[in-house]
Amino acid sequence: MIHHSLLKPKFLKKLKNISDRRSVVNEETLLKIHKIPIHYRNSHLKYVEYGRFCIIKKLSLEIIILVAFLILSDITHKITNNTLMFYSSFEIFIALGPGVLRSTEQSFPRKEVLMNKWQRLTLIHLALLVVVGMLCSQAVAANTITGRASTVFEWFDDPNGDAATPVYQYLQFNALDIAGKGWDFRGYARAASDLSNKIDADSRLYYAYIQKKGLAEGLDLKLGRQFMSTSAGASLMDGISLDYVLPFAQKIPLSFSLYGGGDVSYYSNYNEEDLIFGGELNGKFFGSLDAGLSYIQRWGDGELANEIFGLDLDYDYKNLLNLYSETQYDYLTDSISYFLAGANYHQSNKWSVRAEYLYSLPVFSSTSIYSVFAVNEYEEMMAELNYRIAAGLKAFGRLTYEMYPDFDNAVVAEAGIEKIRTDRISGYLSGVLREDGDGGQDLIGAKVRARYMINQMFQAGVGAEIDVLQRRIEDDRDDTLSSRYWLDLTAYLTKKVNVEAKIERSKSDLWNEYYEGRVRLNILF
Amino acid sequence: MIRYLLALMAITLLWCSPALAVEFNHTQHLTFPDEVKCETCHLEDAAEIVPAASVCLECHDQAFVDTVTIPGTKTHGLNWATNHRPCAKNQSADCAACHQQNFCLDCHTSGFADEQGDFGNNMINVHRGEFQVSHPIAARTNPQLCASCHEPDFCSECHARFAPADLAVTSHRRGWSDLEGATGVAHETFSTNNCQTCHPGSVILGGSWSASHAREARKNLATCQACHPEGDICLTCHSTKSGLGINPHPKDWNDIKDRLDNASSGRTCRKCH
Repeated sequence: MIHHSLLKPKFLKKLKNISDRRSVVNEETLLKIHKIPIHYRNSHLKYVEYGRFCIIKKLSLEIIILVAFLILSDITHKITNNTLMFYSSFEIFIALGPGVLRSTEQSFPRKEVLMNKWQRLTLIHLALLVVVGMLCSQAVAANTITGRASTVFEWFDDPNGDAATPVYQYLQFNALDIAGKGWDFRGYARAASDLSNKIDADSRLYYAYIQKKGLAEGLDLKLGRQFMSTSAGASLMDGISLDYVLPFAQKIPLSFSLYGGGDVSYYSNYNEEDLIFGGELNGKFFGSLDAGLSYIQRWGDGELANEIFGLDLDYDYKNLLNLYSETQYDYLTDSISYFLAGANYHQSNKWSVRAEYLYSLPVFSSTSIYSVFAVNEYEEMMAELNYRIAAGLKAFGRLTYEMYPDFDNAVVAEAGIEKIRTDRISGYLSGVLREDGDGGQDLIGAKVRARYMINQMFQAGVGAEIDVLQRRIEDDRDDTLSSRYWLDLTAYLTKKVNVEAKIERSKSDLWNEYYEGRVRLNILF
Repeated sequence: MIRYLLALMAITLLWCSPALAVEFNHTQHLTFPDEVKCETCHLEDAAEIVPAASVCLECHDQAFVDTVTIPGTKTHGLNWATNHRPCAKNQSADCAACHQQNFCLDCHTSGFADEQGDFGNNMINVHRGEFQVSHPIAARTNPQLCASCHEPDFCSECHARFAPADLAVTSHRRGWSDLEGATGVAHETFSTNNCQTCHPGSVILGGSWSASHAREARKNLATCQACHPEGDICLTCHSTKSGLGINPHPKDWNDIKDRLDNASSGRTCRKCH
């Protein structure tokens, strides 16, 4: 058997109470999952050797991230003269410091200490974040700096009953109109570490890009890690995107976009051979018909993984009826891999009706063996009524019909009512009922939440979610009860600073109860 | 008679009055000078995206406001979290006018869905309740649903430790290796070299297990990938190199095989051929 520190504690926790049914852990599978190089797999001594090798790399990574955030926070402190930002950098030090120290006690390799290529890329982007931050602060102060710093502390039990205590420091940072030249920078990242060294707590760079609108007449530019979305596909991308509005747009409103770079869709396995390229042509016709034609080409491991064409249409009829559709054509399998058509009737601001039809097939990479297998389509029809009862009080009902070629179809009915806080009270109540013709896979569930503003500073809430599910297909004798209850409290220290805390209890027939706690300090600037 | 006519006219006028009212024109408001920010009407702490009538009074008279009708919005309904996809993909609405990319990524990441969201576990959320129990239903519906946020190894990290008997899939609860052939001997005792001895020409007699397995695989192949990321187990039977040699390709395979072959430089084909 393999050493337990190679296992994911978060998942073992779920399984530890069904040991009589647990499979024998396949060592080779685990080694594959954790991507431990073959030459380190031969003996326990080599595991230890690899563990030390990884620890050194993790130390380097954490120290660099720590320094980067400290610099950035310190610099922004200078810019904004905001002491809270300096406090934020102090928080990061508190969050990462013990994690770094504890890493040295670790004597075995774990996934979170592996230094993958994506981590190096993350460092590069963090460095970019810092550099741009410096540019913003000293040489070319931005006209507007906004963002959010959030420090999140979590606690839950690991499989051995020990408490895992990950800490996350999020930073969302916007520097707009840098040096009055119209350049914007936007970044969002988190630094993470587990104080008790029990679980994966990955640092992440969500995005970091510079943007210039009107680089040339009608031309917008984005450069860096960014989220892009077209009907042909969506991805996080390390690269460049150009949006161009054609000069005769007043007569024929047409625009096109080109983008390309590293494809960060699969963050944990991201490497320099994962690439994405594409473009989109958009136009507005007959006053209210928006049409877009897009194309995406993805490369994975140096091979062409997917080629997808997308078409989206959106038509508004007199502010009453919205008709829309989205189509994806998978060129490599010569099939329509996704089709959605819908209508939304919204004449009144009191109520609206929406109906949709969905057709979907899975899309696999050409390098995956699954790309050569036969698959069935999934189809779905949905109708939904939304009703606005009063200001901040809304209700909905929805009926979904799921269609499976080789199985019986299923019907899902959902209804709910939600009160947004306009005075002191907010909350929601919803229910779902799923009837599957095959006998199993039926579901009945409810969600309820209530929240009360005690005074101007404190807001407290309570909630519950309970489901009864027949897990087995074609078997209606295995009702599995699961539930989740929580209490939460928010303290609004100032208009820009608040603290949220939550404790949650989860339980199901598959495993015993477990608890999870979370505290989050949010600082807006 | 006149009374009836007057009454009829009054009812008609009442019924038509919404059509006679001035309809709010959002496009016209967007042409105002830059100094008039969106937040002028869409107040920071507003409960709803449609501004309250009191906001209109900041610029307009009550008499005018009374004649204006506000149509329903095509976006931001109660179920917008599950309905927004087509609108986000097309250019009909400018999401970036109000939302930055972190707004998308706070949900569309492979971490905790609520990691930066509402602590109250939003009413509309694909991850309902104790989702580790109920997720198989969502996983078997739209095959692109899970993949829009999660990487394939997100599934395999957990599923690699599940015993097949724990799964809801029928063909896995009664494993192929336990099946007894005509000789009364379980399949687990045979190697792939023995397949053609009992199944010459790759013919399977009976085959209720294989039929069940095939139906379940076709239903949502992405769920197979969750436990078998490389698909090695599939090749036990679906390979021409050894074993049973069952053809797994779709009916139109001859029309598409060249594209896949060229794209992967033959790498995928060589796994079986």
